[in-house]
Amino acid sequence: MIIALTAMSFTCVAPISQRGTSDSARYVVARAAEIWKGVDSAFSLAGTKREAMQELCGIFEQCQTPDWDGYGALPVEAATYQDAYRFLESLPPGLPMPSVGAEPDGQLTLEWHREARRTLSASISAEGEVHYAALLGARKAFGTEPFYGEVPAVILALIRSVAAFVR
Amino acid sequence: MKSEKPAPVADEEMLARFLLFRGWFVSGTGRVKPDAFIPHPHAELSVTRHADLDEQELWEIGETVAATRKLVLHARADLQTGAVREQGLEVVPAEPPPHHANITGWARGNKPAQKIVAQELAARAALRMRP
Repeated sequence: MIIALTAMSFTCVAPISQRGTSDSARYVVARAAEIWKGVDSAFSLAGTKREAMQELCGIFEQCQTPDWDGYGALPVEAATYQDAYRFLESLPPGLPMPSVGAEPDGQLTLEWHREARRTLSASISAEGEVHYAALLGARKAFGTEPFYGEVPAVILALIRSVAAFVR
Repeated sequence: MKSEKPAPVADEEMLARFLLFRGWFVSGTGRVKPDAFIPHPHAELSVTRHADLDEQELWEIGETVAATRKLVLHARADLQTGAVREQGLEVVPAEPPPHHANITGWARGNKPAQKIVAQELAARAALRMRP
């Protein structure tokens, strides 16, 4: 059975290298897309994680052209999307999912927001780094952590701090 | 004829950051995301001074900004100049175009430092949706 795959599904599938140009490489990419579509329909994924990944896909597609913000923004690169995807994938169960955005330098943002001074934003770069900034009441936290495929402990702690706030 | 220099921006003046990207605000909660206040890769953040403009005139400026970029004007983020200066930044007139100013003084090459300031600005900004 041949499944017609749209450009969207090629763009927003689970990241595997799409650098190959051989028939075999193209088959692998197409097969991965089919598997992803099957998983998506067969399992009831933690709805919020799937929603976050869909939002990530949508933001990436909107921000692939230069000047997507009207102020000269850089386009979001595929490598940035792939790292953001892996970041979302590696979030442990039980944590709230972020909302997804983008910054003018082409980095994708993941934001956990409870209120104005209980908020965390993490920027995923194409260089394997996560820049973060958080307002936690009177306290602030900001810095950079490397991303090797697991969410850095510092950022996990900040997510839990934002999520733990109870009025 | 000598052209007049724009007046310095007073602390009480309101500034508008026109939002042409839908992902920079949450209309349901009236919130501006800090992403809208990140200047990088530029050194400055472009804003428009409310000055003595009425609402219609201000929106018309925003529409002009959007039209020249072939984008849609969704909303604007209003911020008081004093709130910007509290973060160690400066607001300087930058005309033409009329009423244009730049927020300067960002930590160059330091993304986390820019992000934390953007968080503070977002916490103080008011979202105004395009009527």
